[in-house]
Amino acid sequence: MRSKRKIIVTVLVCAGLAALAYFAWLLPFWEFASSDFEVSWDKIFSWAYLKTLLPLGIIIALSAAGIVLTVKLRKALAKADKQTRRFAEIRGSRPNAAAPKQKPAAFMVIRWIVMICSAAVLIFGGLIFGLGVSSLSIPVLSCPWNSEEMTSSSCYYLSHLNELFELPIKNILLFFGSSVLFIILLGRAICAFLCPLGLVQDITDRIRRKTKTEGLAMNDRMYGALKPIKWALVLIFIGLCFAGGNFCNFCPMVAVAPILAGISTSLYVSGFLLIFVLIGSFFKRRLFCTVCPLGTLMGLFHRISLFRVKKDCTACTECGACYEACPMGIKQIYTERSKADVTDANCIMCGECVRCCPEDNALSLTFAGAKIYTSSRIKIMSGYEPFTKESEAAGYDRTDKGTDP
Amino acid sequence: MDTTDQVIINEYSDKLNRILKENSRLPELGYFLGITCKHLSDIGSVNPAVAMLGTNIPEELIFAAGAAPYWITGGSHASAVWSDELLPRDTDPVSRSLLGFIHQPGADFSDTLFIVPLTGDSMRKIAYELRSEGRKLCLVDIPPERSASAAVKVQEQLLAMTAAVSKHTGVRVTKRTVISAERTVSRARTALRRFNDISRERSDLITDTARLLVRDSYYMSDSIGEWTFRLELLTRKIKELSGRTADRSSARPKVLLMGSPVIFPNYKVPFLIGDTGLSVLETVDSAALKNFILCGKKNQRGNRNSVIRCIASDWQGYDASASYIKNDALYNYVSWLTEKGGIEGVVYHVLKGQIEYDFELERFEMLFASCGIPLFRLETDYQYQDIEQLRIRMEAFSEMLAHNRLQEVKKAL
Amino acid sequence: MTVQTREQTREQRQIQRFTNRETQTSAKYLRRLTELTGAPEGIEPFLETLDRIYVRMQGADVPKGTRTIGTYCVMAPQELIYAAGAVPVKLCSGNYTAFSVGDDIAPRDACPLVKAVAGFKQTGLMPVYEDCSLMIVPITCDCKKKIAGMLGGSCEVMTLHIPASRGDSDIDSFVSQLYDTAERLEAVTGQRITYASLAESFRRVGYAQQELSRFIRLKKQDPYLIRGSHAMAIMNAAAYMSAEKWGLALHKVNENLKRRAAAKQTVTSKKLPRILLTGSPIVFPNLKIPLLIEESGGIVAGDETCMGERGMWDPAVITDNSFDGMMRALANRALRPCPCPTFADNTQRIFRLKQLIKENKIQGVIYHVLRGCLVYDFEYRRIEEELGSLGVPVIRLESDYNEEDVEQLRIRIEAFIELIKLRQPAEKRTAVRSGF
Repeated sequence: MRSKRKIIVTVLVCAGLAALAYFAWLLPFWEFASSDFEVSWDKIFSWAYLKTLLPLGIIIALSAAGIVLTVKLRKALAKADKQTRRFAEIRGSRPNAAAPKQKPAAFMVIRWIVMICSAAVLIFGGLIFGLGVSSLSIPVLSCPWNSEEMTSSSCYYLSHLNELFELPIKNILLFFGSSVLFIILLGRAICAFLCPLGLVQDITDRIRRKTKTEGLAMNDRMYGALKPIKWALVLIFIGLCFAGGNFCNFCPMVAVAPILAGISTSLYVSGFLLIFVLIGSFFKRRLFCTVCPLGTLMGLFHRISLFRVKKDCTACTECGACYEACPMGIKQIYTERSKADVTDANCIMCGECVRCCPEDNALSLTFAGAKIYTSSRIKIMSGYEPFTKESEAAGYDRTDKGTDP
Repeated sequence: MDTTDQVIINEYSDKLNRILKENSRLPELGYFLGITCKHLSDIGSVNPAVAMLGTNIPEELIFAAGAAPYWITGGSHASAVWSDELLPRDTDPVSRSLLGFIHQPGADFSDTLFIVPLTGDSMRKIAYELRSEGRKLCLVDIPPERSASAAVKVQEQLLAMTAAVSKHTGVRVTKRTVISAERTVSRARTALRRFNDISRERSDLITDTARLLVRDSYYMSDSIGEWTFRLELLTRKIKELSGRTADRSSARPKVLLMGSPVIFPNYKVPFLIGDTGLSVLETVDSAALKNFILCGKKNQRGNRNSVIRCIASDWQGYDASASYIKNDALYNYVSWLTEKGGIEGVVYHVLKGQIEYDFELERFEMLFASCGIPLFRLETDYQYQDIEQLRIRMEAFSEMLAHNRLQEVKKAL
Repeated sequence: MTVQTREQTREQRQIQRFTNRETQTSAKYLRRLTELTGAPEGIEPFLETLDRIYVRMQGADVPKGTRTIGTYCVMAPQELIYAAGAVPVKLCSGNYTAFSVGDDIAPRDACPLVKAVAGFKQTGLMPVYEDCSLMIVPITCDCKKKIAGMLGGSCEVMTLHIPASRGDSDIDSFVSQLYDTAERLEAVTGQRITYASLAESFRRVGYAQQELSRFIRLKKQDPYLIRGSHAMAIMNAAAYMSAEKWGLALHKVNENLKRRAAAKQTVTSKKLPRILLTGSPIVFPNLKIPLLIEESGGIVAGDETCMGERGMWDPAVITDNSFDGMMRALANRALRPCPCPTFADNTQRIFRLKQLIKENKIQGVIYHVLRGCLVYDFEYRRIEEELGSLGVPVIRLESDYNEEDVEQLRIRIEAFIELIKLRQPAEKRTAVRSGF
């Protein structure tokens, strides 16, 4: 029941704020001057850039306001309810202590670096490198309105299929060929490593974790409720172009990538949705990825991609940490008891399950058969040290960490 | 297997014959004997949609979902042989009998949805056993306490159970079906209460075992409506007889039968009580307070879910099962009975392996000692080998009660 | 001048008799532990704790003014208790003397653990029991359920309902029960549970678990560095020591074991049959079965019991570092990985056993059932089948809390060890067993 209330509060706040965002077109600087489609380094290092960034800034500010409002509302509701009153204050305020954390794993560090580089390349690539490889299409959501994209992203032609089929055969084949090649090679690891919208969501999640704000713990019923939304979005993504509109009208990335590159963009519904995405992914990690139409289409190929999640079912103690940690809510990693391969259509290869698994070798991520990240008990425990006053008094020597046998 | 069938039939047929003989003035009892006989012997021809293990779940909800629950009450010793290898040595006879009944050759439970209330260790493990055989199960987890969160949990569990049964039978549960099911069951309970009241007063007109049989036959009937009607006929007949005959009900000392439930055909203890010159005033077990759960106007407010929640919370309040940490419902009811008076002794019946009743014994011992009522603890199982020892002990107890009576009379003079 | 009635003198004599017998039995088992060869250096604090609680009959060693909270199961959340400023003490009892006292109070068929608890409560002589400000009793089996009701008469009790399955809604309802527990603990100790105190307690318990993981890894090494009975004593002592003290003492033991490994100093020189002990908990001083196994020429290479390796094995993994996230981590850890037979579906216990058999190269399994422990008995049949299909021999040892059956147990254990030894040469010839 409490989760239901949290969702309702969050949704209402989002809706309220997004409605406000709709009126952004009233702002005077919204008119495009003819030079607005030009992009250059000079433009980026000038005041005009800030003017271009303003709409995005407003959306971020509104999202931040929404998040703060949601947190406060949640605290007030918790205080009003008898059952949750006692701990409402602690749960709703920002603590000044730190929970035990694992030492950062190499896999995670590499993932962040790759994400940032990929976002930089996809957004500013043209500016940085001065050239574009437009025949290559990566299936990510990185807005192709941004003419400075280094490579093209598949999302444009997949949501404009009518235009795609008007192109010469060579281009169509190149498009499908490169997209499918990426999908087979990387599978949905693209979501965790390359997608800029993924980076945006991971940043909001990082902010939440730094402030130790309570998120939204979803259970299998709620994940099940997302499924129809997911497939509806896929239908809209593929089908809307035949009905006169296209997905780009809704895509939240429209509000991010072109603006960052310096192109003034009108927002409307995209800005609206971006607020939802920002607030939603603050409370529920990678919320958009659970309903992303491009991701769902990529997930259809999960059986043949080279990235796989492997499980040793005997070593698994069914502790459920992988399920709790998984942003996509994949339960079969935890419940599977016979198969060794637990790659799921929803899995974005973020590695959280492996990071949180306390049994040695129970879970691992593999690429083309080679293990690239394996669960380890010692790593989980690496955040624990006795440094209370009593332990120092009892003679604990901080320098004597104790090596592993 | 002829001999096993024979054993099964023998187990209940001579009991039924005896009850019939001892109550020759009440031919209306024949209906109840008949349905009991049919239920126990016709196991091969029935493939119930929904089966319930034990009687701890409100049956109104099953009726509302369009199915008549097939109760498996676990009173039969003969059926325990089919579960022998599956259960550890110390399992209580009720659980053995339950599991064995399901595994009987000739029993067809292939499409049945089993509803298992998880009241104790053996039920949890039996649930797992049934699930690993591939049967369809609906587990109902009843918390052993009565806190606020436990109340919420019970309501949610029963709602989920109703939904599961509805899915299985394909019948939609609406507010109307719930209320009509409640009404049917309330009528049956009211009839049973009236019957209990009159037969308690005039225990010379109908034997204890017949009373118990009527109560147990509720769980064996196909049609609750007919059962209620027949019960009303029987009650009327007893009332009529009570007007015509002299009241000799106080000839025998009255005892309270408590502890492990007495389930047909395991009527060893009530027959023994009758044989040694005592008469059962009331049988108090986990279902003792069930007859007080009646459908009232206040239950019918709100939508379907709130009606179901109301049933669930009523049920929890009246649940006198020993699977609670402190069985306050039963304790309060028994205190009330002792205050009402009329109890001269208590037979506390414990089945081997049902230690919850043994744990509760201490509390009840203190209660009865403070009222000066002697308590007799009887530990047994479903076998008949210890019947002679029990008879000797029971006769001694009966003599003591008769002696106490004499003392009372002497004191009054 | 005080006149002592005959009743009072009789009571005093009873108390004296109880105390004498109790301390004698515990002292005897401590002596047997110290006499058993191969005790690691650094085991002294653990034996000293057991000595303090059971022989000298003092309370747990906590700083003055700190309250102790009695728990009766692994599922009671230790971290919450530390966060409220108290120290948890696990009160599952293994004591023979208390058992014989409790035999008269509790029903005849109840399990000996519960009888011993009833016995201790009746005599009121053990400070460890008497000093507790609150008892947290997770309702795992029927006996525990009823003993919680009985204890409620003489001290403050808080019960936790353990759901029979581990679905998402069950975890959610257990989280709300943990919040209720936290509230109750705050009321008892008078200290608020804050984010900082909860995080700190995660560190404390986490450190102890880290040392335990290292210890178990060292313990597994073949040829063996430490005997199973000593390991059992060390793990049992965790019930009466605060987590950081225990962790620090275990740290020293671990260092000593590593030195032994480097110097190739092993406990025995022969290849001993490696036995896994599983089933009802083995609680000090009821160490007769591990001691019998090791005195008969075997070695307890691992155990799957809740007062042994399993007790603090599973860490509470924090996936969300908010306050609610930490509570969820506690709820998940208490219920999901727990192979306690109280759950309706306990298939994961079979996997746990298989993993232990594989890692520790187990040659035989002894399934320990306390008389009256129905839940473990129920699972025996299935485990026997599964292990039989793996080719691992299993025997069921039923035992009680007295010393009368020691000789019978010895005969059976010796026969089992002989059986394993007979199979050993055959194993050396065949290929490595696979397909676990």
